[in-house]
Amino acid sequence: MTVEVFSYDDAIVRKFTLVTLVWGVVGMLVGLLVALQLAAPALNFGVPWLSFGRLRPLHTNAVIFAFAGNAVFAGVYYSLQRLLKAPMFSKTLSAIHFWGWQAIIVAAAVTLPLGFTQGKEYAELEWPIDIAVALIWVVFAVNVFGTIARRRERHLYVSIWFYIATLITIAMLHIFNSLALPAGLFKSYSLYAGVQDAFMQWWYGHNAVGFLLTTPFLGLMYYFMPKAANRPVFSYRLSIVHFWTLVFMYIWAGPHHLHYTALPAWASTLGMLFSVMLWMPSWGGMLNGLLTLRGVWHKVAEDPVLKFFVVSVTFYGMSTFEGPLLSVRSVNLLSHYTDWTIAHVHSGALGWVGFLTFGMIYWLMPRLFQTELWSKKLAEAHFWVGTIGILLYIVAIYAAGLTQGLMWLAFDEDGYLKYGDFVETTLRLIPMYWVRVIGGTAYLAGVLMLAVNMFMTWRRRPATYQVPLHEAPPLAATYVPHPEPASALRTAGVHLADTGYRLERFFGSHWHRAWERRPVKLTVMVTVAVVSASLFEIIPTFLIRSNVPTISTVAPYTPLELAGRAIYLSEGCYNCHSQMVRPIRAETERYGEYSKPGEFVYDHPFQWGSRRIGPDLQRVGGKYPHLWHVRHMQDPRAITRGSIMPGYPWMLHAELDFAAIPRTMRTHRALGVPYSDDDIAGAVEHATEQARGIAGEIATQGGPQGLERSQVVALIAYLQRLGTDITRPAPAPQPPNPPAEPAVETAAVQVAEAR
Amino acid sequence: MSLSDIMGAAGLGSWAVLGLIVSFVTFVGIVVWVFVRRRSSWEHARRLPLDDGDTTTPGSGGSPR
Repeated sequence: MTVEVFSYDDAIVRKFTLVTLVWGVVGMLVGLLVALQLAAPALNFGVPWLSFGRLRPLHTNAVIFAFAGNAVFAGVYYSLQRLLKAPMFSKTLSAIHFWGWQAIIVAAAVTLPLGFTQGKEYAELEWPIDIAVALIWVVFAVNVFGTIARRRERHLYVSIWFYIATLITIAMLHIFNSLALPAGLFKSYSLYAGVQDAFMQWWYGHNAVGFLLTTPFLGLMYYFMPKAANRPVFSYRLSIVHFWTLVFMYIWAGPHHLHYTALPAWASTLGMLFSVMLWMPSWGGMLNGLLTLRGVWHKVAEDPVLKFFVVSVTFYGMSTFEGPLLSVRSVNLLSHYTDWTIAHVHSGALGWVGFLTFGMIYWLMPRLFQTELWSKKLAEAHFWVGTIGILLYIVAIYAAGLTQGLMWLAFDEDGYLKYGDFVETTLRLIPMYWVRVIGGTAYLAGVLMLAVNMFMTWRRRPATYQVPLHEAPPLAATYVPHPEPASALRTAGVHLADTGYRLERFFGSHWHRAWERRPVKLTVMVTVAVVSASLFEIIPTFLIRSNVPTISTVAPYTPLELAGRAIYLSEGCYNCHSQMVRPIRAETERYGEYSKPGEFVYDHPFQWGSRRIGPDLQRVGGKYPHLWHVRHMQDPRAITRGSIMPGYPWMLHAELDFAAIPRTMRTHRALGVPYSDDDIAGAVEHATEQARGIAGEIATQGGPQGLERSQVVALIAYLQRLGTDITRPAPAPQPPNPPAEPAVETAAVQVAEAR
Repeated sequence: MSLSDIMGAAGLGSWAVLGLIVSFVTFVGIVVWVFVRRRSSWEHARRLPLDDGDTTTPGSGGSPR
């Protein structure tokens, strides 16, 4: 038998491991800063690029795509080569992948604080960076599939299945959610509007968690946990069921992010049902991981790597127990828009993703640097400090979420809102926000210990790294399957009923094993599963346009309002304010009439939000005088004692770019917003006129003079428009309404079927 | 004529239901298959992560750090 000699490329793994740590520290530092800003809003400094709305996307993007992303790449490049007994397909592609991804991260770190954003959570990056992400992802995919094609091990281990699912699904999610029309080099508007955009966004948001923070890390778990324990996985069968359950079920669960919205009720119920079904594979996977340690639990006491893995897998179990719970409509009613969601994602991110990454890095370090770990004691200390940090963080924020959720829903004995003033509920959370700061600091301190440990271990590396040679036979051109183990009954000569025998042959025969060995078929299968599930979720999205009752009084934004909306997007207001009043009494009492799907048809992108750090803004239009908004933007605490909103004093001086408005309108027209040629030709004049009107009123009300060219006026124009369309008088052809009826009722009557 | 009008007119509703049924049946098939097969037939795959070091020969190559 011929034997081929080869070696693995660990230099690329070293590179990815290093940047994982570097970006981890950066992302967590920004996280700490935004946590501090919520506890002490003065830390926004009144500087545009340091305000919470711009930095929070930087934090989420950095920890998801830079820290977790690079961790996945490091783990995949290490394990894939060894599981396939082949070096990576191309060192050039590996290098392009590495440097390309780091360039994308740097571009994100620069553009997000500058306010360049698409305004969709976890998909904020503007279109040139989005295109770069797609290209680099393809490079990664080619490199992985090329390696698979040149493998020396016929069977693809289950980890590789998880990697393949990640490759395909993330590409699909990223491309379809980011579809947008550019309106300049650093600005684009989502192809979808309102309800449709919300569906696309949460199809993306839900599955990005599933296929960037879950499946690849499960692949890593199924490889590194057996390695660290030096035992095979407890049940390979369970791992296969785990894989297929996630692939088949995860995507269908997406609608649970949109309870109490325009989604057809049966679809949201089905999403809820699939979410609850996900309990089975998640807990199966968790037990599979933990039971792999059967018989070696004594090692956990002395090995920090196993400690990290055990806690990580436990957090996987916890947060995947909680996820389905939150998807149940009645629980969601309480939890949605509160810190409960924040606590949930952090138990997943800090516990599952973070600790699995740290365990993997500690296991890799001696192997990558070919020397002993500098300090096992420091690694132990990292484990304990990190664990305490997570617990402080999540306990405080769970408490904050429950507290605020219950306060929002509370009525007094006379039937009025018990906490009618939103800020009352904010003030109650401040102590818990400080506990979070302590927890986050502890967690970051742990990561810094890892950094010290890595630096010191790296210093003890040999003068030249050994590159061990491995040998294995190439794949035979014709495959001879491993002989099936003979049935004990048959070898003993026991007569078997024919049907039973045939059934056994059917299930035991190699037709299934054949496509397990075949990456192409496996890939096709995964693609079919995720695409069909996605179509199921997306088709209602597009059908909805014909089902959304059109509201005759809803009109496109005026040129100035559109410019104001661009500022709202750019400042990341959606990070703290929702624009979605749910149809429950506690919300209609507090904010006004509940939101109707027909109100959002011109919203590219939608701005429903997912967290109410401040109150909902859907019905803020006309609620306060213009001057209130000016003073509030200047210094929120001068208007509302205890408000934690950043001040935007600079917005009174920053000049609005009137000349850019026609271009924005043309882009919107291309997306289907009915602006006429005349509208666009007269846009600058119209905007100037409207701005002068608002600035004049502000001056009359006793406010500052000469704001007519400032950004704040455009933002006020947008805010004063929000949610007012349904109360406007109907256009002429509509039948007249009885004058006695309240305005909101009138508008509801006018809701008519499309066409 | 926007994308949503085209999609809305295409009458794709029943495909979603079909997709759900096909996916579910396939999934149930996979689960049944996995548990009907003998455990021992997975043994090779199960041990793959632990196999990678077995063929090591003393390293002769080196690379500058």
